[in-house]
Amino acid sequence: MSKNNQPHLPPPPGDEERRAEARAARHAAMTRQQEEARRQERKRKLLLQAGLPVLVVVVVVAVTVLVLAVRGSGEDPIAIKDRPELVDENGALSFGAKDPKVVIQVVEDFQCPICQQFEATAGDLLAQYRADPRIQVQYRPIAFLDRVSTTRYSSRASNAAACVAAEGPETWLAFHKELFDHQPAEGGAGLTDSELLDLAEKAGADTDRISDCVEDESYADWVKATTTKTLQGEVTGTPTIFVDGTKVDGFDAASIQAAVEKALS
Amino acid sequence: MTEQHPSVEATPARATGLALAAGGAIGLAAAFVLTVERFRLLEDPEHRLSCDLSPILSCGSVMVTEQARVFGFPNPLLGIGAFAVVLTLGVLLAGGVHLPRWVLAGFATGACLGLVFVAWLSFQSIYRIGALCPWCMVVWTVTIPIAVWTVALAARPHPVGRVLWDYRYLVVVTLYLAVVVQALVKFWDYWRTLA
Repeated sequence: MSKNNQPHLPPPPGDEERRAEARAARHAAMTRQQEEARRQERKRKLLLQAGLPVLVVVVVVAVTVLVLAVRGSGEDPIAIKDRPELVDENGALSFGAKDPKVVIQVVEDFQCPICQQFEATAGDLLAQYRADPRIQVQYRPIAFLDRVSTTRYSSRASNAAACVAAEGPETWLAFHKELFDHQPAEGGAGLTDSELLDLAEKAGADTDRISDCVEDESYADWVKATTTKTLQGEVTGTPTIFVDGTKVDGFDAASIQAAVEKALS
Repeated sequence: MTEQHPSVEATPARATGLALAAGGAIGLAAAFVLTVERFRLLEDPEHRLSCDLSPILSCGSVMVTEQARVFGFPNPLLGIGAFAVVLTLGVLLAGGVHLPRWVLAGFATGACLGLVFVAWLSFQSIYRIGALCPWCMVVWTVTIPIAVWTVALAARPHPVGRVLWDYRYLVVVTLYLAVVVQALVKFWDYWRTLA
């Protein structure tokens, strides 16, 4: 810049050189300062752009988890008073032997088509087992398929089953069969409360006694609690069958039979 | 100083383009898998999908709902179209192509519509359906930054846009947290069993 700007007067050499050097030095210092300022600015920006979000994530997630953990640890979802008759503290209804050698537990949802198939193919086998003095059969209804009907059929059917439990074991088993025989299609409106009551009547229940229970969903809390508790365990879908507490692979009559025979021997 | 400006301006557009292309590719893959799984489920309703991990983490139960076909056809079909566009425009930006302002504005508008759709879907998934579909969540995850990046990019000439640009990570993270916290709270009983 400096050389080309002054083509006319031959300058006093030493003086000009010194001045140029000083100017260059000043310029360099300024550039360094600017550079430094820019670096600082970039650092501040980076801290703002990357550091702040990281901080926010850590704080919010930590607080949420902490609050949930503190709140969640105190309550046992199944610990509610209005448990239906015949139902034990694990949410299961027991049939057959009182002092059994082998316990079969069937976890099912009245809206689940595979549970219906299971009932159709293995229902007779389970009836035989119920008659066997060495074997107890437990049913543990849950309601996790509310989303496939427009009327929360899963929960309403489970509630109705809980209501019918007060009518005695034979009536409950008959109602259980009726529910699967008349299972509504997925994606529909399910059965109405009065249709559920008709099935209960067919099964031998006194509908005058249970109609309020079915229509008001008296066991709604219990249904929710037992479903939540069941899904916290090994159950990830229905039907799930346990023989003496061990999950059976598959849900066909042959697998159940094999597991039961092994447990009996 | 002045001659440096264009390159300073150009770099974020290129880097953003790369990010958008990556987001578009991931979203495209997720939408594609969801579409294919939807076909599989039609062929065989008992088919166990790749993403059915548990009653809470499950695509099958989410896919069959009304919300999964808001416009009368499976939602992922929209995703295949939209993410292909994101991928294409992302690649163009990454390649240094200077897109007209109105194209960027249109891109940002489309991405915002996608964001609104994702907000609605995540609400439905968490509160109405009561299950989370892993592939769908991949779509949510990429849609959020795509929307924020494109809006910030399109609005950058404005002072408001520059602020949005500077705080874009914070905006993305805040939107992520909005969904994550709700899913944490709603399904806490399930998350607890995983620990």
